[in-house]
Amino acid sequence: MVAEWNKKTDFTDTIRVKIPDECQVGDIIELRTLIKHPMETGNRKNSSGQIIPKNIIKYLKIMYDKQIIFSAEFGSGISENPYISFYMKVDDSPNVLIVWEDDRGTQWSKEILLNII
Amino acid sequence: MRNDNQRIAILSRRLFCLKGPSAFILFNFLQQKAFAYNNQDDLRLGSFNIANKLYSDQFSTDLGKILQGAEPLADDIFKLDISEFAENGSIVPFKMAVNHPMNTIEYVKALHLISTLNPNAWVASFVLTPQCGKAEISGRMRLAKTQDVYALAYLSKGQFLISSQKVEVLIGGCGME
Repeated sequence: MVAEWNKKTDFTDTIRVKIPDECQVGDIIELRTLIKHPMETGNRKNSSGQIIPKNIIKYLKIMYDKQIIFSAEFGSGISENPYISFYMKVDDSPNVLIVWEDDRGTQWSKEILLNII
Repeated sequence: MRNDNQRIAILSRRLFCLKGPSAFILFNFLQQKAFAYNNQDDLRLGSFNIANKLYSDQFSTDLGKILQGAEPLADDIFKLDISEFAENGSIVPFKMAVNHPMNTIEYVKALHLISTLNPNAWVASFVLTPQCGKAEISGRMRLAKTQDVYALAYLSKGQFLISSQKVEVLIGGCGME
């Protein structure tokens, strides 16, 4: 599953992630993530009166230890620069992969390492 | 002795006296039933009353798609947290929290967020697993105008929970002109 994503993954700095500085096995930590994206609803018009085409972030997937632990599907009712905060339980593995995908299939992902003490 | 014609006349009059009012009552009853059903507009929300509130047709279809005939329950353990007044409708912070254990036996499977009067009623759906540890999500949504926002939680035992919040929006956030 990871390999499949990596093929068309664009590693950029558009994703921001905030995790606790350090954590222990068994802790429930808060993970905040944000992606820079205009989230065009498809309802707005530009100055010349043409409709700006719809362009939204559709999915968010969080993989921990090669398993999807949290996923989300968005409509156009989410604000621009989508921001989501959620919780996860820390096991032995430090690898967390965050994947955002827009409605055209473009993916942005970021891999982070938890500092388990 | 009365002849047959007279007997039929009396009978039909008697039948009319009996059947007329009862048919009238039955007709009224059925009509009331039908009217009451129309009022609810297929929104079978169990203990949650939505009858006197404003909502778009899209809201009821989106809600129906999520619930698929199930009846949600309003419970204290599930709360949708949005501030009552939003100055800017394009960024309205929300928080959904379910005070429910998250283990492999029982957990919160999904959370949904629906607006009643946005151009697109459905806002977002979240799928959780026991690995989440805590069923609490926050984010930011858009609101086109003053309206109610509904949140649904789907538990692993097959029960839906519902929670709502009215938000007054000063500047609408969907870019509609």
